[in-house]
Amino acid sequence: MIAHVTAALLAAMAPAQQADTTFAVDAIRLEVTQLEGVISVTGWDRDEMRVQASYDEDEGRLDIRQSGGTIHVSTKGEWGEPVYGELALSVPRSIALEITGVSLEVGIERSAGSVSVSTAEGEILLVGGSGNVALNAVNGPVTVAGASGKIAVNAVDGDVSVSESDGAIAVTAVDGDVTLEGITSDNVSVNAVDGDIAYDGTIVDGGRYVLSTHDGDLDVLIPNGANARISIDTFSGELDTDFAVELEGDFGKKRISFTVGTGKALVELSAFDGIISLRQE
Amino acid sequence: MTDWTEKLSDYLDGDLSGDELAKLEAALQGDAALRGVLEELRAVKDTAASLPQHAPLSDLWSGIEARIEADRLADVVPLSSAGNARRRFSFTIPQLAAAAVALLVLGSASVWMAMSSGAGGLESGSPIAVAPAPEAGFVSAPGDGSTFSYEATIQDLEQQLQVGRDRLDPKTVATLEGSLATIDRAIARAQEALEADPASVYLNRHLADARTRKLHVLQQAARLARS
Repeated sequence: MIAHVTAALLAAMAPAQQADTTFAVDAIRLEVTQLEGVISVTGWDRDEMRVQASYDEDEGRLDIRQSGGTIHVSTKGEWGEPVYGELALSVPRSIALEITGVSLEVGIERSAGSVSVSTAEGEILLVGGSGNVALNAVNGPVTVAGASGKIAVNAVDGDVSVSESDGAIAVTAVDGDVTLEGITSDNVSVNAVDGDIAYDGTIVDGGRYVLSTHDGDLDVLIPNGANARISIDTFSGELDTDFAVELEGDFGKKRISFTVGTGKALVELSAFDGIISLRQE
Repeated sequence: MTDWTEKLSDYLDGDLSGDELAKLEAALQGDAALRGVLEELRAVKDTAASLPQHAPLSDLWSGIEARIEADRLADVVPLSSAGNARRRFSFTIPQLAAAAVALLVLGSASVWMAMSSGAGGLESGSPIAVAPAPEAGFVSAPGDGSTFSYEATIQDLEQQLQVGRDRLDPKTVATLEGSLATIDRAIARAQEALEADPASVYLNRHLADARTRKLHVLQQAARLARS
C-alpha cells in the first residue's frame, strides 16, 4: 500500500514555487524521477530526509511518497505531469539512491550506499557511493570520486573520470575520454570507441585489466613491483614504452606480449588506431 | 609457426592429445596473450553452457523439423532425450567472437521481451527457444515463431528510435546519431581490417566489441524514446 507521506507546496510564489520539508525516514531506498532539472543529494548522519525544492509551475507540487522501503520524490504539475524542478536533498548516508531523468544534472556527495543514475542530457557528479554504482549518461560528462564496490559507467558523448576509487570498475564510452586515477582494483575494464584512455592505479596479482579503444590513445602507468603479463594489440597504432620489451609474439600482426615480474596479473591493452603509451612508475 | 589460437577450442573440449597437446600447453606456458584468449574462450563456452535448456516452442520446432525432414538429415536427437545429453560447444575464433555478441543479443532480447509485458509479452516461465544458427544465433520471439538475430535486433531498435525520436530532445537525438555514426565507422574499419586478416583474434574481438557497443547505445536510445 502506498502511503502518502507529504505533499508540501507553497502557493502564491509564482513564477518559482518553493518547498522545504524534513521528515523521519526508515526507508532503505530513495527514488527520484525528474524529467528536467537539477538534483543535488548530500548524505548526512541523521535518520531524516530534508527536501528543498524549487519549481516553476504555478500549480506545481513536490510529490513525496513512500512505498514499502522506498521513498519516491518528484516535482509535478497541476495534472500530474512532470515539470522542471531543482531539488536539494539531504539523506541518510547509507540509503540507496536511484535517480532517473532526461534533461537532468545530478550531483551526489557523501553517499555511502548504492547509487544508480540515468540521464540523457546533463552531467553526473558522484563523490562517494558504495556497493553497486551504476551511472548512465547520453550527453554529458560523468565524474566519480571516492566510490567503492562495483562501479559501472556508461557514457555516450562525454568524458568519464573515476578517481580515488576501489572495486571492480567497468567503463564504456563512445565519444569521450576515460581517465582512471588513484584506482585500487583487481578488475578493470574500459572500452572506448572514439576517445583516449588513461589508467593510473594498482596492478595486483591475480587481477585483470582490459583497456581498449578504437580511435584514441592509451596511457597506462605500471606501478613499481607490479607482476603482470602484458599483451598489446593494435591494427595501425604505435607503442611507446619504458619497458625493454622482449617480443614473444608476431610483431608483424601488431601483437606484443611480455612479462613484468612474476606475471600474475593480466593486462590487455588494445588501440585499433592510436598510440599506446606504457610507462613504468 | 603454428597458430595455436585455432587449437584452443579443441583444447577446451579435450580433443587434443599426445604431441599436439604437449606443444599447446608449452605454448600456453610461454604466451600470456594466448592464455588470455583461452580464458575468453572458456568464459564464452561457460556462458553458452549455462544457458537454460528450454524446450523450443512447438511452432518453432515444427518448422525446424520440417526443414530437417526436407533435407533428409539423419541422427536427430529426440527432444525428450536431448536434455540428458552433455551439451558441447565448439567454435572457431571468429565464431566465438560472433557468439559473444549473440549471447548478448539473447540476453537483451529476453530482457526486452520481459520489459514489453502485456499483450504479446512473455509470461513468467514462458519458454524461450534457442537454436543454433550459421552466424549469430537466434531466439524465437513469443507467439509468432519469428527469429532474432543481431541485425534484426539492430533494425528493430533503430525503428523504435525512429518512431520515438520526436519525443526526444533534438540535442539528444543529434548526440545519439552522431555516436552511432562513430560506431558505424569503427565497425566498417574493423571489417575492412578483417578482410585482410580474417583469422586475427584481436580484430574479431574488436569487431564484436564495436557491434556490442552499437547494440547498447541503440538499446539506451530506444528506452529513452519509449519513456
